[in-house]
Amino acid sequence: MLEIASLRKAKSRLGFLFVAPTMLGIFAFTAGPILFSFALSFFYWDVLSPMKFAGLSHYDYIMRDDVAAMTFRNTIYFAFMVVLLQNIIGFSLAMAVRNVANKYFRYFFRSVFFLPLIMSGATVSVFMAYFFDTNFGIVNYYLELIGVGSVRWLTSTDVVLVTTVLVYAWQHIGFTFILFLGGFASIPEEVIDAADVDGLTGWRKILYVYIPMVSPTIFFSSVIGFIHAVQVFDHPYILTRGGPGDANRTAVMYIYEKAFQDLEFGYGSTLAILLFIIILIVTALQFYVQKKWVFYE
Amino acid sequence: MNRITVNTAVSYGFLSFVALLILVPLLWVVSTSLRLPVESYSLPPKWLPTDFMWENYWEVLFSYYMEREGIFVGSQASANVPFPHLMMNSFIVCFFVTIGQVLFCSFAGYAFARLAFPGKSALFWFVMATMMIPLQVTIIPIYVLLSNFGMTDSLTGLIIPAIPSAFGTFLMRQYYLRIPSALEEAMIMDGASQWQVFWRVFFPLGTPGMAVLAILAFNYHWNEFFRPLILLSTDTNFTVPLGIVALRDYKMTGSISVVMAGIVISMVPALIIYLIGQKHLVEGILTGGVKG
Amino acid sequence: MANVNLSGLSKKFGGVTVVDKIGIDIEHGEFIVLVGPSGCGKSTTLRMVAGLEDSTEGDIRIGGLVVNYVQPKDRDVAMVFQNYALYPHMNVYKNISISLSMRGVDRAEIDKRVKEVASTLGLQDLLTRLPKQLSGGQRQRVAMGRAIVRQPAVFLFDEPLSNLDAKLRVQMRTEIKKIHQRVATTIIYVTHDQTEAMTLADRIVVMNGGKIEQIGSPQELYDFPISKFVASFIGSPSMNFVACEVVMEERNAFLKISDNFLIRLPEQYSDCVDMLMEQKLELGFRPEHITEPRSYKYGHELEIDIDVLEPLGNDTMVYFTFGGQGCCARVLPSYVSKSRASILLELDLSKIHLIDSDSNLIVKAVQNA
Repeated sequence: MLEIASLRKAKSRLGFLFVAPTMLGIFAFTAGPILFSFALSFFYWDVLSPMKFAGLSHYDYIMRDDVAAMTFRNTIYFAFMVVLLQNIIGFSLAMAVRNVANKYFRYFFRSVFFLPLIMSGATVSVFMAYFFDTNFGIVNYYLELIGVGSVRWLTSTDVVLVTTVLVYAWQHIGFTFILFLGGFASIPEEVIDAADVDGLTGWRKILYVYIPMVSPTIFFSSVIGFIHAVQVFDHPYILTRGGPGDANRTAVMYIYEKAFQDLEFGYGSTLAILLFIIILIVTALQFYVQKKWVFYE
Repeated sequence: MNRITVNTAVSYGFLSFVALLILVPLLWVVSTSLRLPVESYSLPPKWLPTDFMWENYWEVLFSYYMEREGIFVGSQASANVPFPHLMMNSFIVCFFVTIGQVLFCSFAGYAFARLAFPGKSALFWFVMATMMIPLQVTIIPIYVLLSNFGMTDSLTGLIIPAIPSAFGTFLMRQYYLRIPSALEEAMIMDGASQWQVFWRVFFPLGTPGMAVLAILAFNYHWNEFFRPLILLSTDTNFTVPLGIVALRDYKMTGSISVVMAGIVISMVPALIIYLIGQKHLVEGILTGGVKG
Repeated sequence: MANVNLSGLSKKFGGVTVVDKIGIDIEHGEFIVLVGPSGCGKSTTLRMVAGLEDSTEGDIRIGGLVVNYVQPKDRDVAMVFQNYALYPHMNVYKNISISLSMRGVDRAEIDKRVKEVASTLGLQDLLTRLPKQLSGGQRQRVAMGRAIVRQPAVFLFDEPLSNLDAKLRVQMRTEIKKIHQRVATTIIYVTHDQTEAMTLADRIVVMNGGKIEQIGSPQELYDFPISKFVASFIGSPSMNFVACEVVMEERNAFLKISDNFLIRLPEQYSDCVDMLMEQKLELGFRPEHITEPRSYKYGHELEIDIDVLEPLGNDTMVYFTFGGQGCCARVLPSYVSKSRASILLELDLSKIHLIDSDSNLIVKAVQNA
């Protein structure tokens, strides 16, 4: 239909009109800012006094900044653990739900798993902090009861990041679960039957049939999961404000502190740019490796 | 026979275990919210409500106002947090962001799906690319931009940057692509203008997509913490998540029942939207997810 | 190769009985076809033999052993599915060989067997391709290769040709028949297409509503159906049915078709005339048994008005109304021309069937030579 010239013109006019507000917004609030951020990373600025050119000194400083190293390391570790945990749990739950014949139970489980996702990460962290409290927390109470002994969930530098992983994963179980439900639904029943007859049962079925056939879903959930996890702020901030020490401090927390507490907008921008670059690299890597193991039909 | 039963039993067991893992803490939150403040932190933990101290809720909601009148309710702390006011703030933000996103993303999504304009495909890839840019990279410049317009510490400053959404545009585009173009052709044969084709045919048919977007947008902004933390400074301008944290900080030690009451109240709107639109939410994730 | 035995086999889903106490004895190396309309329970029966469904009642024996509780992979059966069910992420070689690798067969042996099967089915050049790169017919052959390479005791086919176009279907039918001749394994084949059943089977099991209507060789079912269902199901175009009754006229028995049309009652029914006179009957006759006059030994001529002609090249089908029903006759093309409105047909009375309208069963006639 686009061959008709008058129609094309009319579409063009309306198209331009329709797309303008959103595009303007995206330019103003996403594209523009990232360029500005990039520019800002070359300046010293505390908002009150005028900007001072800094050249590459921020980038130089990052290399020597131990706190930056710590926080970025924490963040990568956190994201990696979260994605791994989420994928395994989501996959297993989706598989388990397939064995539930009763549709009311299925509906029940689906609703329950999805529930924490509609809550605020901040709110979840508030009550989870009480849960994991070393002295009064319920988790430790039961651990003592069964003889394992209490763990300093929020007060030990070795454990605190794990706690944050657990809290975050607890909240986000529903996400990968739903994704894998969708992924499994697209596997034809016949192929599973064929596997049963051929002798691909149990673990072999999971390894040779299920995983390859939902590999696009695994890929998607890993890419999106990583990008979200690497931006984590609410949970570590509210659980321990980053402590003890810097053990629970993530990259975004550090950016927040540098920019909005220390008023070092230039350096904060540099850190943000670094975070963005890391996201790009990891995502690009994932896309590259995709060819080796992801199977699309 | 046996093989299937074992599989089923293990599955049910595993699912029930995880379900418990999720429900039990939430149950504790509700129970504690109703508990006598003095008992709230006691061990062994009581999972079920033992007292029904609705006063906790009263305190969360009204103590701020009562104190202004010279009446003191409960403890000092909650008197510093004007909870209902914060809920109002959150509602305002969510309402306008949701309407804005649904409207503008519908327009843009339709444009990318069905209309033509110069540079359309390049622009689309550009929009997709921006989806990858994390909030933290843009927040500093946005803060600077807003402060130049004096919009920091205001709800407007929270609302406006949230309306243009690359994800929302993508979502609506997908929905519009699914509508058969035969409908458009029929309308054109009947002499409709481009605007009429959109308004009469595609916009109404895109309702499921808009529902998904609305629910996702509302939920996300109701629960948002990071941007409000940065952009808002006066406590009367706070949104609900900030209020909860403030409540906790003021309470620190001692009773946490009041904090729990605040949490429960904050979850109610999200829960309502969830119950109404659950089907759409799931569908939303699946649309974005499976095709990926 | 093994014999298969189903006895008292039933399957209920909730309150619905899909398979109702069926019993079949299948011989070593026999090619047996389960045929019937959608929902008759044939696929469910096959799946129970495979082990993909549990039986509600009854036993399944393969090679004499009860396999009700044995897992599919241990039953020594191989299955070819309607939609091929190939593993989309494995190439043709892997698809065919995977079941052998799972059983620990050594690489060299696997390679030998796969290459052998591949060349039998004409797949030798496609071994590295993925299913999505293959045509429907090629995929079907890979599915068969996957089954054949396992050298099972029993082959199970679940409507394997339903998704192929007509020409391919005929081709593949011959392929399957050749494979059966070569490997001489027991085959249980499910289809809704009676032509497939007739051309492939040693014996056919006609199923309807979860029950078995009749078991017999294709010719048996064609010549001596025991119920109206089987009579109408087998043979294409299907049998004509016309309401009738047996009357006596001047001490001779006649078949009376509604509009005062009398046909002398054929020999084979002469000893049950009294019984027949009490029943409500239908006359059944196949189109190929009502033709242009051929001077049958026991024939009856009738003049009919032509409704529609369908020239098929080899024959011409004549549609006419008889006894209030639309009927079909098969005549030589040269016998009819468009100009004639009515023609003379002859019915071969040795080939007719009488059906009891209440039970829908065919009245057993004394077989004549």
